[in-house]
Amino acid sequence: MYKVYTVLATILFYLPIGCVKQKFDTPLLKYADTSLPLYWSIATLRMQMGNAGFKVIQQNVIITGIVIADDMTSNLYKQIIIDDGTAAIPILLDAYNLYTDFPIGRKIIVNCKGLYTNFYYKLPQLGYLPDNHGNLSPIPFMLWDKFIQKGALRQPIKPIPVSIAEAMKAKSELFNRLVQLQNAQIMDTLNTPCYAFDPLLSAATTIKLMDCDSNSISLRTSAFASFRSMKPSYKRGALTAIYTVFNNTPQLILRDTADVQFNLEPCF
Amino acid sequence: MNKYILFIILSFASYCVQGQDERAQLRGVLVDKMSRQPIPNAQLLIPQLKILFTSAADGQFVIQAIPYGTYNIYVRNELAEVLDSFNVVLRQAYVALDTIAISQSIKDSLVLTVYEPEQEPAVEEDGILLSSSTSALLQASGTNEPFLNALSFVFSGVQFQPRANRKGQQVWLNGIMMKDVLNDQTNWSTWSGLNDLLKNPSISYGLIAAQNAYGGLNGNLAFECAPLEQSKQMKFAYGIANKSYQHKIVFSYHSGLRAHQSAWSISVSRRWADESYVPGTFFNAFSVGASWAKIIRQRHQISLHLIAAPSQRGRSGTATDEVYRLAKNKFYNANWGWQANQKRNARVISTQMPMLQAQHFWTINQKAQIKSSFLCQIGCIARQGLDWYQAQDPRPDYYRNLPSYYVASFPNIASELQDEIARNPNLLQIDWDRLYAANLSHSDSIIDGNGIIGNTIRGNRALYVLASDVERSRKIAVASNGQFKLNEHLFLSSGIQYSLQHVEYFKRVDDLLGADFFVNTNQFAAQQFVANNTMKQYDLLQPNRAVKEGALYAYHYQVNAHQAFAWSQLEVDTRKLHLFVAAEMNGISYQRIGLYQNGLFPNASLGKSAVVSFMQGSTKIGIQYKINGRNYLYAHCLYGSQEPGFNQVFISARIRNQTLDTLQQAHIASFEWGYFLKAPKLTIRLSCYATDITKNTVTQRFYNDDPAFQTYVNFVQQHLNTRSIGLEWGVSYAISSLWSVQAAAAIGQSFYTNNPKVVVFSDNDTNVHPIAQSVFIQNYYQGVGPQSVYTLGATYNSKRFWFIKANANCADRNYVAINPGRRSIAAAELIDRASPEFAAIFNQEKLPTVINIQLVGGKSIRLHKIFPQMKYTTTMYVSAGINNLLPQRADKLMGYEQLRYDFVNNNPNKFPNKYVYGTGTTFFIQASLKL
Repeated sequence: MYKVYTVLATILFYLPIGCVKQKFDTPLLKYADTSLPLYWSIATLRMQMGNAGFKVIQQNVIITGIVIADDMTSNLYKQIIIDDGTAAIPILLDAYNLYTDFPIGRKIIVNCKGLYTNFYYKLPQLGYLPDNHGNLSPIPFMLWDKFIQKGALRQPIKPIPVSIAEAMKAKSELFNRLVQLQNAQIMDTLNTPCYAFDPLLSAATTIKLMDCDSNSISLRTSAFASFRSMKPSYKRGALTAIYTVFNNTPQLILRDTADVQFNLEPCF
Repeated sequence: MNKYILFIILSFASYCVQGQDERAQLRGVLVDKMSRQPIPNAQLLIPQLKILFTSAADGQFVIQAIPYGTYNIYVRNELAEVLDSFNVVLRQAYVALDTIAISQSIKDSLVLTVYEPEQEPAVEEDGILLSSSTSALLQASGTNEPFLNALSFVFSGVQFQPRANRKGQQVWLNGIMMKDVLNDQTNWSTWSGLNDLLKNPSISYGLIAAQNAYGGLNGNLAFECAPLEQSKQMKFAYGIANKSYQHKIVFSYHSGLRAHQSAWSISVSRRWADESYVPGTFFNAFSVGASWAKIIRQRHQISLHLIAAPSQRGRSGTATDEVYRLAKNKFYNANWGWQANQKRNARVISTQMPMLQAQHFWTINQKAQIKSSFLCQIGCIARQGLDWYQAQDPRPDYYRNLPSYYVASFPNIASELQDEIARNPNLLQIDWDRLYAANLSHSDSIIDGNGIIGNTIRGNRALYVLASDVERSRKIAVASNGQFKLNEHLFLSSGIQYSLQHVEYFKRVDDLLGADFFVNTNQFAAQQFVANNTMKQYDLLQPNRAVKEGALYAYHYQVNAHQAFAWSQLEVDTRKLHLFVAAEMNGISYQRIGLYQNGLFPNASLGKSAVVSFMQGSTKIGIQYKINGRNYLYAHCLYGSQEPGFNQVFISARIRNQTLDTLQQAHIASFEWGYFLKAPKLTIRLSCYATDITKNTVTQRFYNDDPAFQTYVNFVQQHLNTRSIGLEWGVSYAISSLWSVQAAAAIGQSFYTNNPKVVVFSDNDTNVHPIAQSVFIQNYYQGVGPQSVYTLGATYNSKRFWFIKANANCADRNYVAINPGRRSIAAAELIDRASPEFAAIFNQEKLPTVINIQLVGGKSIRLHKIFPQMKYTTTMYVSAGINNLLPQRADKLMGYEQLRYDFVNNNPNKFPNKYVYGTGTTFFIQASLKL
C-alpha cells in the first residue's frame, strides 16, 4: 500500500514542477519598415518652416534620417540630430541618455503630424508644444512611439568637408549637419586648458579654432560634457562636428573627442 | 550594574539546584462543549514533559507523577489534531480539575491550515523597510485566547504590527533563537510550508515570563519538531487559492513511536502560482523537512532535524496615487513587462537557506531538565532588480515620464499622456524589448580592460542588466536551555547561546539582456568626478573589469558577526501570587572585511575594519495576582538596552569600512498590566502597555534626487526616541453549545517623542563628516500600520462536524511613514507657517479606515462510514474561506512618504506618497486526507 502512496506522492509533486517559467531568451531586434512612402525630405521640411516662428505640422508628414549626433557625451542635451542627405534637423526628446535608443548611425522614421518646428536663435528644430519661454518643448518619453519608429543600426555617416572660411559664412544649408574641417587648430592654447570650464563658472565654453590662413570659428562645449575637463590637442588637423548657428554666429558642436584628429604640427 | 549582579546570581543558582522530587497527580473529566457528553480516547499532551495520556471511555483521565510546575496541556483527538488547550498549575500532590469542556469541532486544525503564513524576507523599497506579508504572531496558533487569536488570524491581514514593534518577538526553532545576528530580524521563509512538522508552538505574548526563553517586547514563540509526540499518520492535502499561491500540495508522514524508542517525521510541500493575485507576480516554493528522534535510557533524547524551504517570488511594488489612477487598477505592479508574450517580473526574491539541527534533551532528574541544541545553516537570499549604467531609468512609473511632471508647465501634454496611457496601458509596464534593443545596439570598447594595460575588450556593452543583491550566509549556533525546580515555590530557567554568522554580500549580474558584458564602474562617481578613471572604479584591484553573467560587481564584502547571550528567570509561585524576575545579557560584535578596493575610498574599503562590539543587558519583573481560580491581575515591566544593527553601525557598508562617529545603544523601558478571566463560557483579556525606546539609531538608504546629491545616500537618525502606548482586549463567549461570539481590539498610539539629529552620508561623497541637522518630528505618528484594529466574530459549530465562522474587521488610524527630511528648516524655508503649502509639507496623511468581512468554514468526513473497507481513522477534511467579502473593496493598507524631496521648490508633490493596497476578495479551498 505504501508503494502506491509513494508513487502518488511523486506524481503529485513532480507534475507542477516547471509550471513557473523563469528563463527568457534574447528577443530578436525589430526594425521599422523604412520602405514606407516618404512625403518630405528634411530639406522640404526646412522650406516649409520658413525663417522664424512656431509651426505645427498638421499633415501626415513622414521624414526619415540617420542619427548623426546623440547625447552620449552629454554635449547635446535632450536632443538628437538626424540627417537624410538633403538637410539635418534636431529632434527634441524629453529624457536623458537618448543614445541608448537613438545611437549615432541609427535610421529613424518620424511621423511629424502634431509636432512643431521652431528656430532656436535661428537654428531650426523639431519638437513638441511651445513653452512659455518661446521655446519648443521636447517630446515626452511616453509619446515617442507615437511619433518615432526605430530603424536599422550602424548606417554609414559621411561628414561634409568644409573649410573654416566657408563655415564662417553661416550657411543655412549646413545648419545641424555633420561637417569636417581640415587644418584646424586651437587659437589660444594658453587659455584653453580643457574643452569646457566647470559648470559653476559657466554653462558652456567657447574655444576659437583657426586655420593656417587665420580664419576662425567657435567650438562650443557644454560644461556638462563628459569630456569637458580633458585637455585638447594643441596640434593641427581634422575636426568633425555639428555645424550650428547662434543668431548669426556659426558654432561647432563636438560629438566626442574622437572627432578631433589634430596630428599635424600647428601653423602658429 | 544591579541587573548584571542579579543576572550572575540567577545564572549561578541554575547550576546549584538541590531539592525534593515533588510530583503531582492530575485528574479530570473531558466532556464535549456542546453535548456535555464524556470524550473517550482523547489525547492529553504536555509538550514540556513529553507526556502523552489518553482519556478513558468515560472521559476521565488521571495522570500520575507530573513534576510540580505550570503547564499548558493540549487536548487532541485520535488523529492527533489539537482540539483545545488549557493551563494548569501543579503545586500540590493531588490536583482535581473541574469538568473540562472541549469543543470536538475540527475548527482549530482547519484554521491552522487555512492561515498558513506566506512569509518572505524583508525588502526595502525607496529606503522604507516593507514588512513581511504577515505578522510574526501569525505563527501563533492553537490558543483559545481571543486576543491572540485575533492577532494571529485577523489583524495580521491588515498589516497590523502588535505594539508597533516589528522585531519585538523572540522566535526559537528547536531550541535555537533564530534571529539574524546582523539585523535582528527573523526570516520565516526559511521554514515556511512545514506546518505539519512544526506542531504545537509554545507562545507567550507581551512581557509575561516565557516558558523557555527571556522573550522580547512582544513575547516569545518557540517551535519544535517533535516526532516522538506525533501519532503514526500519513497526510495528503491539496488546496487552491487566488492569493500569493494558486496551488498547494502537502504530504507528511509521522512514524509514531517505533521499536527501539525512536520516531521520525517527514513533511514535503509545494506551493506555486504562475501568476499570484497581483498581476505580474508569481510564487514558487518547495519545502521539505525531516526529523528523527530517539530516546536513550529514558533520561536522554537525541534528535536531528533537516529543514529546507527554497522559494522564489516575483514581487509586487508600491506606487503613487497618480499611477494607480492611470492604470485604473489598485493592484498595479510596475515590476513586470511583456517579453515574448509572457509577463516577466524584474524583481524576484530567491531564498535558499537549508539548515541542519541537532538536539539533546537531558532529564537530569524530576526537577532539572537541560535541552542543548546545535544549528548549522548555509544558504543565500538574492533580491533581483534592474540595474543600468548611464541609461534612461527603465522603471515604467519613473516620475519624469508621468503626466504629473508636465501638469504645471504643459497641462495639454499631461492630458495627452493620460489619453496615450489609456490607449496603451503597456506604457506603464517594463519594456523589455527596448532594454534588449538598447544593449544590442551599444557596441563599445573597454580600454585597458580587466586592469590589463593594452587590453581592449570589444562587444555590446550592457546599458541595462538584471542583477541580484546577494547575501550568502553561513551560521552556526549552539545553545543550552535548562529548567530547574528549586523548591515547591521556586522555579528557575536559564539559557545560553552563541552564534557565529559569516555573511558575504555582493552584487551579481544574472542576465546581460543580450549584451556581451557589463563594466564594473560606478556611474555616480563617473558623473561627479568627470574624466577621473580612478574614482569611478568599484574595484581598483581589477579596474575596468568586464562583467559577464554570474560575475560579481559593484560591491563585495564580508561580515563576521559573533553573538553570545545568556538569560535567567526566577519564578515564585504561591497560592495567590505568581512573581518572576529575569535578566538577559547579550554581547555582539561586527567586523566588515572589504574584498573590493573602491576608487572613492581606496584606503578605507579593502580589508578588515575595526571590530565593533557591544555589551548590553535587560531585566524584567512581573507579578500575577490570582483573585480566584478564574480571575487574574498582572503587571510586568522591562528595562534594558539594545545594540544597533550592522547597518546602523557601518555607514554605507557596500562601499567602505567607516562607522558612525558615536555608536549608541538604544534604551528600552516597557510596562504592561492587565486582567484575565477564564470562565467556562467566557474568556476576557484586557491589558495596557507603554514602551519607550530612546537613543535609537535608524538608517535609511535611498536614491536622493536632490541636485546636491543625485546618488544613493544613507540617512542616519541618531538619538531617536519613540513611545508606544495602548490598550488590548479580547472577549469570547459561548452563547450556546452551538454558537459563540468573539470580539477583540487593539487601540494604540505609537509616535516620536523628540527631534533627533540627522546626518546624510552620500555613497560617493569623500567627505566623511557631513554636518548633522535637526528634524522636527516630535509627536508625529510612526508608520507602523493601523494603530487601532477591531474585530467582531461569530462561530457556529455543528454537531455534524462542520463549522462556519464570520468576522467583521476594522483597521483605523493608519498613518503613512513620514520622511523626516521633510520636517526640517530647509524643507519649508520662506513658506508662511499658516499657509496651505506649509501644511501640505508638514501634515501627516492618515489612510482611510479599512473594513472587511471574513468567512471561514470546514467539515470533516470519516471515510470509514462511507467506505467501510477503509481504516477507522481515515478522514477527509474540507475547508474554505473568503476574505474581504465586501464587493469591490480594496483599501490602502500601507503608505509612506518618499524619502527624496524637492528642496529647490519645496514641493511635496514632486515625489508624492506611495501606497500598497490590500487585496480585494480572495478565497481558498483545501481538501486533506489523513490516513
